[in-house]
Amino acid sequence: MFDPLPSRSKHILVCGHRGHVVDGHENSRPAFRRAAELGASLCEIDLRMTHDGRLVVFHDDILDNASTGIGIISQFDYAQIAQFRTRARNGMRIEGQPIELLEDILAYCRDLGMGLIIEIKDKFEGTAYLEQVVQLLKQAQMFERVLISSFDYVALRDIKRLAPGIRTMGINYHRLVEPAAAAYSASMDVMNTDYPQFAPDIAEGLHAANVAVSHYVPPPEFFAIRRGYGVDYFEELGAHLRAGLIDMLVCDDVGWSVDFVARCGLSVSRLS
Amino acid sequence: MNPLRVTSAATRLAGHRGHSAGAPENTFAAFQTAHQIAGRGVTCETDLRITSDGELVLIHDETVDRTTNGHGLISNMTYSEIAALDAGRWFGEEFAGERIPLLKEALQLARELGIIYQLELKTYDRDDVFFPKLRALIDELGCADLLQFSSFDFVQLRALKKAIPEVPTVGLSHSRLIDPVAIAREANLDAINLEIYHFPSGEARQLHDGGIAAFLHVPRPERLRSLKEYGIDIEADVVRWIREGQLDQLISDDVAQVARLRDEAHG
Repeated sequence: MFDPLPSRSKHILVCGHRGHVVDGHENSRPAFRRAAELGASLCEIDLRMTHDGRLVVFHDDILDNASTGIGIISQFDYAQIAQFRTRARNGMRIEGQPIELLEDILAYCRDLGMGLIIEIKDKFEGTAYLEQVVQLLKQAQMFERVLISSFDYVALRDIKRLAPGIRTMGINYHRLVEPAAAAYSASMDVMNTDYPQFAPDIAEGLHAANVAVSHYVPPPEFFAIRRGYGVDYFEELGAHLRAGLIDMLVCDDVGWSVDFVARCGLSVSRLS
Repeated sequence: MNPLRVTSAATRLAGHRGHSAGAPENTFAAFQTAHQIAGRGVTCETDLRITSDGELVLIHDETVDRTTNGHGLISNMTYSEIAALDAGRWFGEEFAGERIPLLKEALQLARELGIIYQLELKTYDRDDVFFPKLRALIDELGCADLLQFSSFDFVQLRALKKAIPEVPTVGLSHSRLIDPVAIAREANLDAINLEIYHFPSGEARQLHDGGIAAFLHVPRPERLRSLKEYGIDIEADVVRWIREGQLDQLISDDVAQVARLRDEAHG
């Protein structure tokens, strides 16, 4: 179970974005295993549907940039997808992993004791796609340990109608005038705002409406040049954390996140 | 009337940071090339920052490192330091000597050639400095007709509209919203720039029904090539959306691409 608003008790959820990805793996077992070892509360994963209607864990719609395959996932049957192996985007040498079915990753992460954020990326008509997601979560006994996320607020609204107990998170790359109203429009439990749009008033507005606050921060390397010139976003971020503005920190580098949270005097929230 | 709403035949063409596919982004060369390709009325999207001595300049990043031969944070450098940098050679030897433009100079070029700037405010915590300077410059040059403001920060755009009501505003969104008109109205926006991935879901029609303009950023052709090889023709979709009157402004790094798409729609 999630503590919906850990910031109220000096806790915070630490989430690995596609797992702990700075070693080159993403959306695969080594990325999740490493995230768990480093102390993540949960990992974010991405869903794609194959031509024969199986849900696999993979970020892009095309295979080309992060696997040994080429082509569009939705044009292949799962049996074909299963023959490809993952490949690091940045050219780092990794041992290629299979592109796995959602049910297998759900079981694996359940056994690691981690929760998951599952991002819906495909576009679809009707509700069959979302019904399939809900059914797999229930079969894997992960329904209570998962947050469904999307940039598509209509998909979030629809899955909540289908399965009212499910928790959802809207992804935001902008700063809205009334973030709580947008969250309310889709009955979201959490709203994520990416760097650099995050601002305290977003968090305050969401917290006043009992909506939890997630913040995606790029990994420390991203900030290296700026820090060399004396601009340090992490000082600002630390102040937000200490002020209890953030319920979940999402980052590519779980080790850094866990360490940063501890330095801010917070404890990592665990799913019980 | 919403100044950013147009008819299907008049879909506006825009270059992202100027014609950044063929010239160094956010330089006179990029703005002039956009104008050569698309003619008077072309929009150049560009980015606003401020020097340590308070000059408004056009550059995307917080630092000069990527797009010039210098190093450092713009906000720590004086304009004379910025003006000494070469902002063209990183892109190609033939662009050596391009400078980081002052907004004021760029507006003078715009008046001469008939360019409109879509100015993105990249700083979110210094409205008290930026707004009065923009207000004063617009009053001095009488150039509100050459500008529209864009931002991911809708709170900032709402405040900017209050300070400079005669310049239209464009909200940038990566999310598919349930009620985009409500989001636009609460921030007093004239347009929302939609993400191409969500475009088929119909937000443009919702926006138009509510009197708000719909803008779209199209990935440059080389980024669409592999999808096209696999049988997904995004450009054909865009041509159809233009023909259906769903698009008020089409933006790309490559102005020739958006010009071609508009011609195809009405050819």
